[in-house]
Amino acid sequence: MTSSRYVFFTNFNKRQPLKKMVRFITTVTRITAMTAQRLYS
Amino acid sequence: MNIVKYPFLFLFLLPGIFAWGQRISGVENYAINRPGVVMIRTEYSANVYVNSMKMDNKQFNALLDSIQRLDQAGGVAAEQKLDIVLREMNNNPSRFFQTTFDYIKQSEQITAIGTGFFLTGDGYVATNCHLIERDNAFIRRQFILTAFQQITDASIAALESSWATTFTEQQRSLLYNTYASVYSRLFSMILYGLKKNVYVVYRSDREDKGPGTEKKPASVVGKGQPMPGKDVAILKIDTDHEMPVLTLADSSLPRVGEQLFVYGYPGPVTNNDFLAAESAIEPTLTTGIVSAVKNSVGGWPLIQMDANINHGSSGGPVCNEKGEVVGLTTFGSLENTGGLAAGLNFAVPVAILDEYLDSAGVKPQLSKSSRLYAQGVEFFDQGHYRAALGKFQEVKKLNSTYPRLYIYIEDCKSRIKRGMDHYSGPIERVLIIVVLLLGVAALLAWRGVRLNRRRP
Repeated sequence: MTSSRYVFFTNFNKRQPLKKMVRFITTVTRITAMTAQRLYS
Repeated sequence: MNIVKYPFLFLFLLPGIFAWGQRISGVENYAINRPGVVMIRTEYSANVYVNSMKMDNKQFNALLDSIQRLDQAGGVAAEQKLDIVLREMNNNPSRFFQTTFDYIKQSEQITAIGTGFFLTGDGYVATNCHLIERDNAFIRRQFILTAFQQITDASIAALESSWATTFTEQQRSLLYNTYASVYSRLFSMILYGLKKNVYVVYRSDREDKGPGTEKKPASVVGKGQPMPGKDVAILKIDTDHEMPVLTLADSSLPRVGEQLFVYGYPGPVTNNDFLAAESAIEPTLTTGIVSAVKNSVGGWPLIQMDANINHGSSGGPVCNEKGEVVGLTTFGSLENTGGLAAGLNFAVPVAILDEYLDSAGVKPQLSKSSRLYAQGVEFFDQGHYRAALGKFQEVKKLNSTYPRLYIYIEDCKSRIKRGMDHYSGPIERVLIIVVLLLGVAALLAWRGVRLNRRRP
């Protein structure tokens, strides 16, 4: 199977994630973090 | 003033007169064309709703219990524990990650950056169609991939922070695979409210503030189709000033071997962290030759060239040695490995652009300010700073924000002050013509005398 062998010279720039989302993810992960402390005990 | 030198000065100007419309140096090419080169920004915005996830603490504790049992048996080193956890998460993500009914709403913006150039003083711009119009599926994929990457990066950073550790590259790569699996198999992402705005961004200088940039919304007045279609678009911005313009070559194709000057905003330069933000609006000039003239699958011609080009250069002007635009940078070739094949790039010839200019009723025309600016640059390069200053002052009346204009004006003033001007005013020009006419008259008189002597 052959794939396309061309490329457009467009530079796609993406915005950084919003603080709100990062805060949300950090909260979700923190629940597990309490458990994760056992990794080092 | 040294009158004796004027005939010599005239001799110096002669090649310039004969070279009018002929080859110009790369420095002149840049000086004249740079002001009319613009950045095109197509800004897409949308809301991405991502199914939020939660780690299952019960399963996680069960895994840790198993590891603890192995540890008590003396089989696990402390530094191996994290690797075991991450490997298990990767092997069986559905065991550790749970879907919730919550959605994370992420407002996303993706900008497609490319290049264009002014066709007329009243704000018509040429660029590629694929910069302003990509198929929706492609844009949606970009949004989803961006959202995935951002959420994964944030999740990994949050894990590192709350687990008080720094993952190795190997661990990070394993986590990327885990999240890819989680988001592709377990969770959904929904794209909503996709919007698009096209902008033209250009350098706009002010004498009191120095270099600056202007960003204007653009409307699309004519367009073809992204490759394999005729990949050109004509935009229009509203402007109070007379914009700098590039000259289009005639519709004949350039010849193989001809030298080319390519202007663009290559991403590796635009996104380079070591460069100041205000430098982003300075286009990059690369050179090459016409490597071949090929036909597209649609049957119309394409210019192959070896100039170094990268993402962000699309739509940029490809100029010949006279400084005229012969094509628009459009696409490149890929290696079998998927990497960019350097120096095997293609431009849509200006004849294709002409078709759309005609149908949109746009007549490309060198603006008065551009003509005066080019004359000013020529005088400046010849050391006639007073004459150059006169031209630049006239440009200022038409467009006080003309790129680099205030720098030239300051340079002219400073060089005149230091006595560096090779003055060539109107009186001197008249004197040159008189000397020339006298010379011609003397030559004719001499020939007449000789002919009279030969007659019997």
